[in-house]
Order: sequence, then structure tokens, then C-alpha cells
Amino acid sequence: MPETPEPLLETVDLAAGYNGVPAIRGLSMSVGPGEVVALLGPNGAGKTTSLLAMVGLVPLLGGEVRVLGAPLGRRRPHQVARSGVLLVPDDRGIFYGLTVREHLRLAARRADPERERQVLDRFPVLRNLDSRRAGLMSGGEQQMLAIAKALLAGPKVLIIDEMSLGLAPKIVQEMLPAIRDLAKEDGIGLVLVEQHIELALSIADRGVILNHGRVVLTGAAGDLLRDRHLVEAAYFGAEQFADTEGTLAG
Amino acid sequence: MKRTLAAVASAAALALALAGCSSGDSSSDASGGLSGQPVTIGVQAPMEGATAYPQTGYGAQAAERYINEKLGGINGRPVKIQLCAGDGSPETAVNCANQFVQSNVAAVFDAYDASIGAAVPVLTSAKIPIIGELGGQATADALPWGQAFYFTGPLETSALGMVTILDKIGKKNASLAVTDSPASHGYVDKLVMPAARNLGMNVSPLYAPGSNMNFAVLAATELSSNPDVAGIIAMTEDGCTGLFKALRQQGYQGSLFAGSCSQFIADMKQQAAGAIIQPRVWVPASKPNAPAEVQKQLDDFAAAMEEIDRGDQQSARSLYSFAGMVNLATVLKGIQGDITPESITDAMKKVKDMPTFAGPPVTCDGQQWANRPSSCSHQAIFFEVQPDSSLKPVDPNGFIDLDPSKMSAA
Amino acid sequence: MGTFLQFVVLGLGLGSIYIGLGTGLLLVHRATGIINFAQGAMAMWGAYVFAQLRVDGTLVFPIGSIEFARRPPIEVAALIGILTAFVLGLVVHYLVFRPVRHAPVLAQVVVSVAVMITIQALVVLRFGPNNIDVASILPEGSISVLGTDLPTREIIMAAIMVVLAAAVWAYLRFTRAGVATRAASENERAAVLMGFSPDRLAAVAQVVAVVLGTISVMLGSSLTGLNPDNYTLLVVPALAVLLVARMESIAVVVVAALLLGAFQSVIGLLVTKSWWPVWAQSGLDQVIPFAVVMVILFVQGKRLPSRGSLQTIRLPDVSIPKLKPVPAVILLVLGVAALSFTQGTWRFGVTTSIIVMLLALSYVVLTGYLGQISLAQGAFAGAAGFALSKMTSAWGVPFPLSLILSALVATALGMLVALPAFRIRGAQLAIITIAAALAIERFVFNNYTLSPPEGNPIADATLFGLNLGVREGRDLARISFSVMVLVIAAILVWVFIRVASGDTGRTFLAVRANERAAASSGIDVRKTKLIGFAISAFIAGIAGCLIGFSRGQLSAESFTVFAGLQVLAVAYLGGITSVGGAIVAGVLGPLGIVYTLLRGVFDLGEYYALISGLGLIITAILNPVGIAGATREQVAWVRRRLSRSGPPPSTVPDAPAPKEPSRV
Repeated sequence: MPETPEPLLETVDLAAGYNGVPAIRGLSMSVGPGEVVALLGPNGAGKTTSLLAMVGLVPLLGGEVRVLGAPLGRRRPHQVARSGVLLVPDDRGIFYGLTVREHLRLAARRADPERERQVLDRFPVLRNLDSRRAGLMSGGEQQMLAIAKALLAGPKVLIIDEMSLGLAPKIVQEMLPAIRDLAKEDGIGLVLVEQHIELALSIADRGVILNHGRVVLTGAAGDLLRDRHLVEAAYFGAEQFADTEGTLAG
Repeated sequence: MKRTLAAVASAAALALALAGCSSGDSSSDASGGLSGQPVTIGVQAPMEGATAYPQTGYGAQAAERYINEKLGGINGRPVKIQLCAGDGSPETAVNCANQFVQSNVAAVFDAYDASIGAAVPVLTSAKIPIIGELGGQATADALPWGQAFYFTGPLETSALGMVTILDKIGKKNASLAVTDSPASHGYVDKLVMPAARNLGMNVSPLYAPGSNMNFAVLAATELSSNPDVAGIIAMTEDGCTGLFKALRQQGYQGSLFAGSCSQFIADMKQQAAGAIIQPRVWVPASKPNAPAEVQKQLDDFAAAMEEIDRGDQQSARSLYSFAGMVNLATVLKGIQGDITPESITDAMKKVKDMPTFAGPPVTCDGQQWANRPSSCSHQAIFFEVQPDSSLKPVDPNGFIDLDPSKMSAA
Repeated sequence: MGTFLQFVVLGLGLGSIYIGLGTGLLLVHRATGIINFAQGAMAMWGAYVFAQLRVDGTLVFPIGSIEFARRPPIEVAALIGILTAFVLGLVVHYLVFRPVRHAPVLAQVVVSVAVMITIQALVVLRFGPNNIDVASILPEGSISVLGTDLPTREIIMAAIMVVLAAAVWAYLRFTRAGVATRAASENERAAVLMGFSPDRLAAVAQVVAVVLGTISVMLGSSLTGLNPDNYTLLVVPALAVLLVARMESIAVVVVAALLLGAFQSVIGLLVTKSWWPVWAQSGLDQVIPFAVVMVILFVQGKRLPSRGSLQTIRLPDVSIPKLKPVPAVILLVLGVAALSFTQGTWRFGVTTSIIVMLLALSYVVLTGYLGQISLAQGAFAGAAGFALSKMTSAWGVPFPLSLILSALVATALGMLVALPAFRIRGAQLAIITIAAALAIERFVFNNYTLSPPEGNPIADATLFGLNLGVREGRDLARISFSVMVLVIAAILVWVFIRVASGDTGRTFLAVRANERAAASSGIDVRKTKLIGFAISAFIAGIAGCLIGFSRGQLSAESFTVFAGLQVLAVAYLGGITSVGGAIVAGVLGPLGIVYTLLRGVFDLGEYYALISGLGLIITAILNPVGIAGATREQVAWVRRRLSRSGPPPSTVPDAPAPKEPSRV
């Protein structure tokens, strides 16, 4: 078995929430270079809270988050972003009043024309929209912009929250694999929160299913796809899974 | 973070307060070695606020020393002033008045504080007389005889005096600025304009906002009506200086009327020549051209101000306070028996043809000016600025009589 | 024509100050979402330092000063002034504005008002209260255009400020930090996720804003001299310019600023003309900008941008008051005792404290319960006071009818101010109310035709032959007057508690929490606001009348904008959500117990404004519930400890702040 490299992002028994009430408890997961982890679960399961906690936007109520080997500590969210862990949030994290060019300008600390060319090669549509304001673009274009600007910053970990929200299925079917390829090529650790179980698991290496603020199922993506009934059960709130934090042996 | 803020802020506030405490005026002994029971006079002076004149307070302090050290006090008893700093707001004036009543002062000296109006109800209710050299507002001026006494006349003195002297020197079109306030509007409309009309003069008043005077704009506005005399009806010293400089800068070489301002003379030197000023008394700059007795008085004033380290504050306003206090002391000396608000009021009412410090002779019988029982005089004095910056009286006699009937019924 | 042109150019001097302040306001708002009412005050500090250096070579710090043997040359002095501004911007950002960036708008408004009061008080303490001369950096001169001599100084000033404003525009448009500032202004979380520190961007913005403002004041004040009151309040027309520019466009700020300056200058010329009506001679330069702002807000009100920031701090909770007879009687007895056992200035202080408590109560109703930020309560009180003067002296209306009628005048005014509140909220409402208060102060209270020069006397009140006047002879505060005040206050507090604990109170709280939610649950939001403003103005009106009775004489200075802000400061300090808070405010307020103590016993009267300003800053940052709230928490804690089985106190928690950026 090949030696597993040091995870880029790791959570150990993470608990986080609002006003002292945890929305997620006991989340332990990790993502290494080139790995794709799908974080799944119904609405209100605690997925978004987990992501926000990983980048420091929501305070931890327990457990630990390790970023590039070092604990998150008291780092402010913008420092987490600068250290290479980028979150593309559910509102896409773009600025309706700014143009595409301005977004890309903000993305990279130092202008790197070579890198920019590489990224825009993957999203050629954006080249034509250079001076278009983000607010005037379609959902798919906005999502492309969100991801392109994240990539331009040269992240080590890329976390995308509900990328497929509001996008036509066809576009989603094209974008997800493209992003996976990108991650693998550049050795980026990719965490995807998704509603589309099948699509997400089809490009992921591993899956983590949350429900009621807990991990109810984890396993290799292929295994989860095969044992679909377990995934459904996890989704529809089978309490026994909540208690056992069932794991599928790989 | 927040605790740091709290700590820093508290420390800062404390430090500031302590700094203020330590640098406060240490009241040195001004009693001149006199040992009798002090006569306490409350002094309300505009020491703070937007239109403050700390000189008014300094003059009173210098007078306190002078009376005690050079005039022998009040029949052996020292005068002690209780100086309350007004800031132009009625709240402070009321507070000062309350303190005066509480501390049983024998009288209150109005050191030309325009907010004294707010103090009037408190003081008249407690039957404490208000005495001053000149009044800065109409409320106290109009009080019934016996409640307030002003040695050199009411507000109207300046209005009537101005119109009289301008008429005397043959001016017909005056464009004059005045600080904007309801009081000044009343003053201009009810006093200046009718008097001007009676003398066939055309006066264009300009109301300038008290705390934001753009002198260039003001000067341009005055000159826009092509007057043969420009200047002010009443304005702060800074306002006068700024306006006159702007007038000259815009090319106006004609006559300037400067009311009771005098600071501009030192500032503008040659450019100030020909300006007419109208203080209430013989001001220091007039010494070279004053009668011998007045010269001695002005020397005494200078020495007294030096004594309290305010030698550089010998302006009209400090002199008003000084002269007024000395005049008051003169009256007090004539009181037989206890010095109380009642006895002071009586003594003031009996003042007749009393010579005053660098001022006109006064009679406080309530008849000197129609409808202004507080006024003790209906005379005025005018000076023309000389090229050497000294002041020469326009009329060789100095003080001249004004004719209050030239004002329409106020 | 020539004169007209001359006056337009002369007005550019003031216009360039508006450019400096307006651009600074815009920049800070973009970067932090905060509308900085202290912009004028902060800009004048550096200018004061500069001026004083040129007057006598003294370099003045907030604490201490350095005397130079020789006055530094003008360029050096100017540089030191700018450096001072730089440091001031940094200090105020880190100590004051950073902690409240995610606080509710009320806290932000109060904090910036507090900074305004503090700096103004500090200037008066360190530089003296008079006008001081400001050396002119630019040479005097004139050029001849179309046959008229136009002054060059004003033109150059305006040109310099336009260039600087353009530089700020370029910063926002072209530099990475500037684009990031714009981005963070729209979606702060997204900017954070891209690695930007909004706090750092805000610091840059704050410093640039203060430096810009200081330069404009250094230049412009050479025309008028520096004066603490006036320059602090120049922020109000600058805010008008900001609103006209919809808080976004620097180009509009520049144009509007110059137009406003020119306009005010031309008005100054027109009011001297003989055909100009007498009643419109004062204060028009403040009324017109206010009217313009109102029009703009009505036309565009719904579409003014409000910043999408992460609000994480909640508004102070309001606890529904209950009328508990025992504590009420105890309080009343305490009040009567305090009045009986004091006399003279002390009883006057206690009585005034009760009156200030009523003014604070009006803030509790409007801001604590209804959540509307109004800085105009002083104007309401003043309107009632002046009406009272007319009623008692000119028309002989008897007490207590005169009291009620005058308070109704204030109520009418309050309902008028409620109209803009239908469409605007938060800091923008605060701007409208402060502009209204300033316009009322300059145009109405100072109006010669309404306010005669002899002043506005107020006859003593009598009731059924009982003399309720405030003073008689040497008695500075007669017990019958003071008891009357106490009785009126008790009645009003009782009325307030009834209203607050009933349906009206709950409706207020619902509107405060979330207007849209309240509307969708069937509450008539407009009517509620109208009622709230009316009640608040009525209480303020009664307080204004009582102030009038206690003084016997009123003038415009009694109810200036500053006086109103001081009461807001103590109201917030005491606790803006409860009667207890209002009582604490009364104790702390101007001419009240603490004030009398400071002035009489400690001779620290001139520090009152400074101490209340600093206290307000600290409170707004550390403890939004105010002193009373903190005390209540302590009392509750003690009570819980004493009786373990006691029920928890009933509180109405605030609705959580909406996470999406709200469009006003």
C-alpha cells in the first residue's frame, strides 16, 4: 500500500455551532493532496456549518481542525484563506458589482499571467466576459468565476459548498469532473458539499454523510455507490446510524 | 481587547482630569493685606464658549487686587470676587446665578456677558443687584430701576452713537456687519434703523453667522452696495480684524466704522488709519491724546494688569471690567453700615454726577435714558485711528451727549 | 453678474471642506458600513495643531504639549498637522470603530456621536473655546475674469481637493486594496474568504479619510478661523452631500460639495438684499441642504444601498416593564426624600435630574423600544419650550393646559419627523434627524420674528392658587416646584409602563426586531412608527416645558444640537432600554446631580463633556445595555443566588440578525 501523505486539512472530533448550540458534532475527516472528499447529507445536517468551522468563520465548540499540519488555533478566517485553504461558499463568494477582471485581480496577490492563462484555459467562457459585471452573468458563469478565482490563488485545499445549486444539470455534469481533474493534476485537496449524491460520489474518492449534526456514514465513494440503500437510510434519518456512526469497511 | 480599551480610556480620562487640576489657576492672595470681613462680589464673565473674552475676567481680577492694594479696599475690608465663567449658554448662566445666590454675594458684576439674560430671573428673585460697565444684551438693560445698573449706558448707546457720529462726519451710505442672532436683529431693526432714518442715513445691515464668518464673502457683500462707510455694528474682535483686513484686501480705502473693536489696530497698522471706533471709555491706545487724569488712570490700569501677569491683555474689554469694578468700589465705599444687596441697591440709586474711571460722569437715577432705567449715562466717546495707531477723540471734549429722542420709541 | 460669480467662487472655500469631509465619509462608509458623525471633529484636530504651531510654536497633544523656541515654518507645521491626523485616524480606528464594526447600527451611530462629543470637548480644553486664527498656506491674490476680481485662494483650494478626491477615486477603482475595499463593502464574507482583512482595509480607509478631511479643514479654515462648535457641525452638510451621492459616487460628492458651498455663499448675499423676507434671514443655509436631503431620500429612499456586513452583536435586550407597586412607592419616597433633604443648587440639581430622566425616557421609547435612531429629541423639547413661552407670556394660557398644549406642539413636530422614518432606517435616519435638529435650531429657534431679543420668558406656573414657580427670593428650587416635577414625571413613567407592557409595547418591539416580519404578521408598521414618534416627542415636549419652567427664560442655546446629543449620550450610558436606564441618565445628565457635583465640589465642570463622551464610547463598545442593564444583570444574579427556585426574569430576546445583506 502506498504511504498516505500528510493530510492537507484534517478535522478531529469537530463540533461547531451558533450561540453555544452545536450544529455539528464529532466530525472527523481528512483530505490529502489530490483527494476528493464528498460531504453529503440532507438540509440542516450541519454541512455548511462544518465548512465554515474549517476556515474559522464559525467558532469551534469542540475538537480540532488542522490546516497543513498545524492547528487552526486563533487564526482569523482571512489568514486561513491566505495559507491556502479556500472556501467557495454557498452564495458563490463573488461580488456582483465587480467585473470578472477585477475578481481575478483580487484573487492573486501577485499577477501571474502564466497561471491566469492556465486557469482561463479551463474556463474559456470567462475570457469573453472580462469586463462583465458578475451580477449580470448567468448562474453557470458565476460559478465558473467563483472557482476560477479560487484556483488563481493557488490553493492547497479547495472547499466548494453546493456548487450545483441553481445550475442546470448538464452544466453540473460537465463541471464536476473538470474540477476533479484539476484537483488531481495540481495536487489540491478537494472537499465538495453536494446535494447530488450520485454525481458527487461518482467523482469523489471518499464520502462522508452527515445527518442531525452527526456523521452517520463514511466510506470509499465506490462502496457508497454500490450500497446505495445504506446511503438512503442515512439520509432519511435512521437513528441507529446516528448512534453507531456507521462505517462501511472498504 | 475590550479590557485594554477600558483601561486605556479610563487612564486617559484620569490623566486629563489631573492635568487640568494641576494647571488650574492658583489663586494667590489678592486681599492686599486687609483684614476685615471680605465683601464678596459675584462676577459673571464670558471666559469660555464660542464668543468668549477671557479678558473680561482678567480685568475683574486685576481690579480686585487694585482695589485692595491701592485703594484701601472698602473702608478697610477687602473685596473678594467670585468669578464664574460663562460660556454663552443659558445653562451655565443659571448655574452661576444659583451659585451666587447660594454663596450670598452682595452684588453681581456683569463683565459684559451676553448670557446674563438667563441669570436675570434668578438674581432678581433673590434681590441681588446686577451692576456692570456696559450690558451685552437687552434683558438686563430693560429691568425696572434698581435691579440692574450699567455705568456707561444701554445697548442703544452704541446704536445711537454710531448713527450720530457717522452723521456728524457726513456719511450717508453705511454697509455694516453684525453677528447674527435674534438679539442683533431686534437691535438693528428697533434701534439702528429708526435712528438712521431720523438722521436721513441709509444703513444696510449684514448678518454674519457667529461662528463661521467667511471674511472674504462678508467684505464682498458689504462692498457690493458701494457704501461710503463700511464696517461693523457689533462683532467679535476676531471678526472685526478679519473683516477689515478683507475689506482692505479687496481694495476698499474708504472709512471704516469699527464699533467697540480695537484689536485690529495693532494687527493692521497703517491700513487701520481713519477707522472710527466707539468704545465706552478712554481705551489704552488713546492715552497720548487723553487728559492728564485719564492718563494716570490708564497707567494704573496697565500696572494692575501687569501685576496679575496679564500685561498683554489690555484691551477695551478688560478695561471695561476693571473700570466697572473700580466704579462699584467707589460706590461701596460710600455705604455706611452693612454692605448687603439692599444697601448696595440703595447706594447705587443715589449715585449722582459721580466721575468714573476713564469714563463719563454718571447718575443712576433711572432717568438717563428713556425706557432704560438701568442706564447711568447718555454720553458717548468716539476716536479716530491715527497713522501712528494711536487714538484721537473725534470731539475735543471727549464725551459728548447723545440725544435719545432721536431714537424712535423703542 | 460679476458679484454673483464672485460669490460663487468665494463659496468654493466652504465647498472644498465639504469635498474633504464628504469623500472621507464615503470612504469610511464603503470600508466599514459606519457613517462617521465625528468626521468633522476628527478633521479639525490636526488643523488645530497646525494653527497653534503657527500662532505660538506650541505643539499640543491631548495630554501635554511641547513648546518650540521658534515657530516652525508653515510647511513643517502643515506636515505635523497631517501626521497628527494620521495617528488620530489609526487610534480611533483601532480603539473605537473596529470593536463596533459588527455591532448593531445604533451602537455605531452612538459611538461616532460619542467620538464627536469627546474630540470637541478635548479641543475646547486644549485649545480654548474661541476662534483661533489659521495661517494661510495658499497665497492671497485675485485674477480678473469677465471684469470681476475673483479670489484665487478659493479656486486653488477647490482644485487641490478635487485632485485629492480624484486620487481616492483612483485608489478605489484601480488599486488592489481599493478594489478589495469595494468588494468587502458589498460582501464582506466573500472578501474575507479571498484572504482580505476587512479590518486592515478599514484602517487604511479611516486614516485616508481623516487626513483628507484635515487637509481640507487646514486650507478652508484660513478663511474663517477655527472654532470647535462650527467645524464639528460641518459634518451635517457633508452628510447631506454624502446622501446625495448615494454613498457611492465620489464624482457626485465633489460636484454636490462645490454646489452646496457656492449656494450657501450666494444665499449669504441674497439675504442682505432689501427684498428678502425678514423671517427667512437666518439659518437658511442649513434649511436648504436639509430640504434637499429630504427630497432626495423620498425620491430615492428605497434604493439607498446599505452594506452587507456580518452582524454578530445583538441589540440590547428589552425587558418588559411591570408596574410593581412596592419598588414604585420606594422610588417615589426616595425622590421626595432627596428633594426634601437638599436645598439650593443641590435640590435644583435633583430636580433637573428628574427632568433629564424624562428626556432620556423619550429616547427609551423611540430608540430602545421602537429601534428608531433619532438625534432630534432636543429639538422637540425646544419646540415645546418655546411654545410654552408664547403661551404663558403672550397668550396667558393657564397651567396645566399650557404644559399639555406645548407638549402637543412637540408631538406634532415628532410626527412630522416620523414621515421620513417610513422609508429610511438606521444611520440614514440618524442623519435626517440631526440635519432636522440643526435646521430647526438655526432657522426656528434663532429666528428673529419668532424669538424676540428680550428673550423668551416663561411665567411661573400656578395651580388653584398654589404657586408652583421654581424660585422665590433666595430659594433657588422651591419644594412645590420640585414636587410638581416629580409628580409629572411619575405620571409619565406610569403611562410609559402601561404602554410598554401592553400591545403597543410588543408591537414596538416587533417592529424593532424586524420590520418586514412585523409587516407580514399584520402589524401596520407606519402607524406604529407614527405612534412611537408621537409618544416620544410628547415626553420630550413635557421635559422641554419643565426645563423652561425651571429656568424662567429660554433661548436658542438651551436646545442646541449639542445639548440634544449630550442627553443622547447619557441616555445610552444609563441604558436605553429601560426606565431604570432613564433614571441613571437623569442622574448623569447636564445640570443634574453628577454635573452639579463635578462643577460645585470638584470644580471639574469643564470636563463634563469630555467625561461623558469618553464614558459613552466605553459603554457603547463594552456594554451596549448601559449601566442600568449591567446593574439589572447583577441584581438578577444576586436574586438567583438568594432564591434558587425563583423563576427566570421574562425577557424578549431579539430576533437573530439576518445573514443576507439587506437592501434598504
